[in-house]
Amino acid sequence: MGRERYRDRLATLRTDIVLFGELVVERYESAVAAAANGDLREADRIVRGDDEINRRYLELEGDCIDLIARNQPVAGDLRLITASFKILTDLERIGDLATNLAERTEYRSGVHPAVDIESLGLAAGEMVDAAVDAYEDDDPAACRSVAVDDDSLDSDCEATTERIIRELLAEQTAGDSDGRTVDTATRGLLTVRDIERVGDHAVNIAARTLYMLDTDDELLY
Amino acid sequence: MPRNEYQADLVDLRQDVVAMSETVAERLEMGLTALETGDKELAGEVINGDDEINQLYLDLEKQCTDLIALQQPVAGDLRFIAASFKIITDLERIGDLATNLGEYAQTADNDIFPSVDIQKIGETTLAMLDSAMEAYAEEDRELCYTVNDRDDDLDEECEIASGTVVRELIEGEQLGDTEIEPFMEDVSRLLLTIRDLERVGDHAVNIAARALYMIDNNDELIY
Repeated sequence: MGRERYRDRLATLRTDIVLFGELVVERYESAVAAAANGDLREADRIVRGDDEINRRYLELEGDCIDLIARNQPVAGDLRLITASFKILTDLERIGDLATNLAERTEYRSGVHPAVDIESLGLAAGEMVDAAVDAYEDDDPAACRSVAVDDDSLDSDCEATTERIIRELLAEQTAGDSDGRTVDTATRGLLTVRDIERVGDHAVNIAARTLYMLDTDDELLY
Repeated sequence: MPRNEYQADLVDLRQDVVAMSETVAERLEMGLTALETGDKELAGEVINGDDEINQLYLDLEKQCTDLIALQQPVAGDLRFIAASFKIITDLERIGDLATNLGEYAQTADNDIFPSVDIQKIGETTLAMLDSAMEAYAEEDRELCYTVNDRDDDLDEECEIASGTVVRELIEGEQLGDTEIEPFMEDVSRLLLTIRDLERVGDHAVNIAARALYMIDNNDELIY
């Protein structure tokens, strides 16, 4: 492969990953909205769309390996390609988590009342967006701020979990527990868990980007 | 690099990845024991050992990219190296989850609901990790599917455990105001423990899925 063509392919890889990131974030945000509104039709679209995300994931992974094998990249180029390879995995998992949210959507019903799904869910989505932007723009400061945002997402998730537990304890006092209470609480807990995981993946993306830019592994683990 | 040296490097890579998984499994076991016994020193060892796993991870990652770049492997060899490259990420994450267990063991009383059997769930995850790595090391496609099936059981065990926590909260004795705060902490930690173990299972499935893709170019478990 000529040098120029190689540079083109590196640029294309980066653009493709960014587009893939945008696709995944779109799915995830729709899943949050579907779960919030009890929109089963939208939820179904998201579940069925997961195949497309998975296919694209393996294609892009193939592109990364092919670039390494054909061009023996070193230093910054190699870090870009390995970062892309790892970031893809995180994006694909975010797609899976969107599917989880969609599968848990119930007809015309939101999530547990203690779960502010739109605010929590969208906060995690914005983190993914910011991480992908940091990768696109080579922005180390933006990588670090994703990690900072994750601390507040984690504490919001923890606070939400506590609210669910507190409501259960209150329920106990009122003595009106039934199977529905348990189901709703469990569903709420799982939803919080999935959103928190989306935030973790955003941090992984930011960490990989930072490692790519500065060989700085401070966020990597 | 002469051909036989390249073959030797491939063999080394496989052994090194397996060795990393053994270290990670050992940490997970230690984390579980620390939870069971409340041994804070052991918990500290798991936490402090995470640096070593992280370093191992970056070293192995370099081994993989060097092999791809210098040898331009094709077909089966390439799939093997790419699989190894992915599997070490999952192993590193399992290491992080073991560290979480260490942290819970240091901060919480994990025996608030004896009906929730964390150790049993932990054993399931360890067995899954072991099988997934065997599938990779021995190229055993059947075992890949076994791990995937096992994960359904694990998810169910975890769901039952979370449901039990929720039920205990409703049905348990009422608490005085001073008891509520520490109890809340313990309940949150317990839910996190269940969540993290379920996540270990997910990583084991990722490893098995990658192993199957490596063996047969079969992506059916990858997603």
